[in-house]
Amino acid sequence: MTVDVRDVSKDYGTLRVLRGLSFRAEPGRPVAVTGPSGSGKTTLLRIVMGLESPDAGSVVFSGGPPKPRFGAVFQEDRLFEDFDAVTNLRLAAGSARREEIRAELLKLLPEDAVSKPVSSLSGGQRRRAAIVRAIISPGDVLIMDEPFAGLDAENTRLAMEYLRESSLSRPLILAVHEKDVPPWCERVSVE
Amino acid sequence: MRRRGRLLKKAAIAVFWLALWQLLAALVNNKVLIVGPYETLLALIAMLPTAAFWRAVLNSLLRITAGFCIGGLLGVLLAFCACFSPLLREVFSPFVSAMKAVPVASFVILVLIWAGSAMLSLFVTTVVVLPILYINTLEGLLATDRKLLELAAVYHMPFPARLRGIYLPQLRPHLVGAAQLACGMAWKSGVAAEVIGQPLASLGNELYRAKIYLETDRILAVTAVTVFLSWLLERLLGLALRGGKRREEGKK
Repeated sequence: MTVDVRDVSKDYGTLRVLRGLSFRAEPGRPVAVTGPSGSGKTTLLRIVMGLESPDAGSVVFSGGPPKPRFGAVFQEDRLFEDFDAVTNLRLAAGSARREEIRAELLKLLPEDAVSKPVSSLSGGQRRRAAIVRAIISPGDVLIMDEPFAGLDAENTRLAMEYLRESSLSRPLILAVHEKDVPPWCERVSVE
Repeated sequence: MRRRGRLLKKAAIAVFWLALWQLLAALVNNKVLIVGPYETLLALIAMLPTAAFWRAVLNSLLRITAGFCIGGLLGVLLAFCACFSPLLREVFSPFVSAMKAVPVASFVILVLIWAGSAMLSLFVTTVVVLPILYINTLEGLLATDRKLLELAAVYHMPFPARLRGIYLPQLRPHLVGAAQLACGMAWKSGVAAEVIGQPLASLGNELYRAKIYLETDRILAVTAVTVFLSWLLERLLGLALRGGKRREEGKK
């Protein structure tokens, strides 16, 4: 599947946040959208996911279902607080078996963090659980809004490596600050 | 040790109120107006071996519990419909307001005209419980975290997963409070309806007959049984709803 963002513009009242933005994301060719805070990175991702409408332009998905599913990491972790990480992933990400999910989580999380309620995890652990949730989901497109926020340098490196290896078969669009752009991503700037 | 202290404190409070009740009865010294806890206990013990008493307890228990369950289920179901359809919410609004405002006595008389007295307490309990569960469930559903619903939408989460992960955790405190309140109301209104409609072999009918013969001790004994049953069901309900949460945690 490919994602074509074509001439997308979006205003909030008199504030113009996106101006005629175009790019393409496809499997093996991930895109990192960069720009300062308030430049419209999150808005762009929400438009791609269909949570907001652009004022002009369009997002076209080809080579897959007309209404694609997304594996998404939002700016907030958006975890189900009453449950542990395995159950969180099972609820959101479909029919994978608990053992498979557990094994996937252990790639980024320590053993003891996997079975605890997510409400008791650290910010960085919650973030990593959210990343694994997106990856393990059967989503056709991967969308990640500042996935490395709150991670230390070592965990950022691990998470980037995990993303690179796990996202090859699907289009991946990241919104990140300049310092967090993975070297293997195509860069698109919003100003 | 702390648990024992709490139990002792509760026992002391209970003894204080029972003593006050007994003192009041002794001061009034008129068995038609009021009897003490001791006479009430004797009246209860006298009723216990009779089949009529147990038939009355069983009938009222079944009808009121059935009415509670039907009203509760309907209330929750209608609240889900109203949550997903603003039009249905508007359609239900006057109906629920009417159910809240119409006096129980009016319902009792209408049900007596339409259906007779046999299932009276079941109908009345349903009508009393339904709006309580509807309003509280709808309030909980409308307060559901929009961000989690967005997540569910983009992940195409199926409804059972949304129910378990988003709606039930959000609803549980609303449901526990509403169900316990509704349980108390169900017993109050159910037995009141039985007093007015006098279905045979019911707690309400027992109360009515005791009133005719001015048997205050029996009135208080039947009242005590009603309060105990209401308390017992409220506790069981609380355990069941909280047990649901523990089962969820056990699945992790």
